[in-house]
Amino acid sequence: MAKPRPRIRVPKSVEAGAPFKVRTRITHPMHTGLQRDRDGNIVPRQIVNRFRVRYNGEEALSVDLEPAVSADPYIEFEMAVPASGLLEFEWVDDDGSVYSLSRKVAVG
Amino acid sequence: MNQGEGVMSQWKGNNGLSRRQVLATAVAASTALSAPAVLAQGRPRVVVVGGGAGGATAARYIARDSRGAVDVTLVEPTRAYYSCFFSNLYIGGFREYASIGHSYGALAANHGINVVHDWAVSVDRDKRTVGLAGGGSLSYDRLVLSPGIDFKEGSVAGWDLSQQNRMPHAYKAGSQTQLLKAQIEAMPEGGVYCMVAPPNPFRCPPGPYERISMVAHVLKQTNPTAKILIVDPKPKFSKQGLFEEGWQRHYAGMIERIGPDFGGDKVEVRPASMEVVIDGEVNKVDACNVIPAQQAGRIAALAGITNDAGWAPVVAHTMQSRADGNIHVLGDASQQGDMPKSGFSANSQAKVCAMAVRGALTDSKVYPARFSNTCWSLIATDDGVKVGASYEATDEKIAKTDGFISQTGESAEVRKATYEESLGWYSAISDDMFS
Repeated sequence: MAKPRPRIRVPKSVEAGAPFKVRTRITHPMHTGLQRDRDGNIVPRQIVNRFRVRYNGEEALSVDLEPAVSADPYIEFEMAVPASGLLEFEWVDDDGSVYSLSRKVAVG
Repeated sequence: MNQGEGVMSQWKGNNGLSRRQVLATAVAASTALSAPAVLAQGRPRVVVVGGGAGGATAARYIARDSRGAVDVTLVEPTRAYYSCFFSNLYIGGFREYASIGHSYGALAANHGINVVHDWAVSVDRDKRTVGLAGGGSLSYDRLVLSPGIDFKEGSVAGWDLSQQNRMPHAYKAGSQTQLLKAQIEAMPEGGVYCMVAPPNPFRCPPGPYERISMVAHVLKQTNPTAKILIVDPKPKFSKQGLFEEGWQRHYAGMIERIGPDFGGDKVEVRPASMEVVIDGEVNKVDACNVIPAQQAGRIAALAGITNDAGWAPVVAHTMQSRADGNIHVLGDASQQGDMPKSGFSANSQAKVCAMAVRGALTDSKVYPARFSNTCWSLIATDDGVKVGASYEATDEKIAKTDGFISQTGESAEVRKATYEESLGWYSAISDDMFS
């Protein structure tokens, strides 16, 4: 499997308490465990099973993903923050790998 | 191609006429039209600028269907034409380079067209002359401009024409295509190929994405851990569902497209360090194909017939410029309405234009304009898809009447047949332009 590559889109600066949009995507095949390869063998399940977002260390969002989610999962949500800080993103793979990114958000 | 055959059958009905008789008829017709300028100079003169799918077809049809009654000069700087269509298949290893190259020899030998290998650098619309870079000028009764595209300066930050060897566009076929292919083949193991895709409107809407397919096809065989990155300012693209299905099927995990939702519209390239900066994030790449924003070939602007967007608006019935009825504009350079900018479209428009020019200069019969287009794309070996439509001329524009597109989930047999159909088309349009 090609190494998954996460990407995020966050505004560089936001207003305190005002909602802003966050877009995330990770390249990942999201093998369901039900497909077969060209030789007829089952392709083992391998998905991103959890997506987490923390703001200044505090959990802001946690999502369980299931095999029905398509390849290259795209997650978009809105959030609001009271003050400047660090947004951290984590994608947890079935194989135990964790892919992470972080981005500073400036308020004001 | 039915329009052309229609014109031919009209002439076949006149097979008893010798060329001289046809000429005499033409001169008589000119007299009837009381066109002293034409009479004083002998045969009416048509100058065609640009020897691609629009210009070569127009020159050939005007010369052939007027049976020598119209003097046709084709101005084209290159001596061999390399078609942009099918150049992706050369990159993918499905065509030899020589097979997309064509000579202008038959246009001179078979149809008496005066082929001038030079750049047209000016148009004097009052005197009706075209200036050539090598000096001298050509006068015309009708001018056909089919100059294709040029790139908009500054549309991709960090890129200009001086960088085209380091980051090729390969969007005018020829040495640029060879260069890009060589750079893809020289990528290190696991390297990154990046394409900066153009904004609408541009030549060959599925072209960038067919190219991605062909690059993936090559890399899958020779460099399977390599990555393909598409930086795209557009939210959607032509045949998107078909391409994405094919990429997942043939090249899973290899291709990543960054649309405007992830900053694909905020890109800067750094050719010296081979970096692509996407909304502030630096990506190191090993081959980079920059396809900038486009506008009509420069001569159209120099003739003063382009609009603010850089294209030349035309009347759909005849492909005449809306700014000057003595000038017709074909193909990519024209702003005509619903047709995509494609070789097939240019060829189709050229036949309508040739008929209108022949009709105006020789007072021969013309028929209502009809247009058609099909764009085929190859995704992988024997996996061809297509999109196409028929069109008619309205006073406002070339208007789509009905269309068709390949479906996702089609059988291998259908996809193979679609690819084979495209091979037949390539051979037919090559003959239609150059035989």
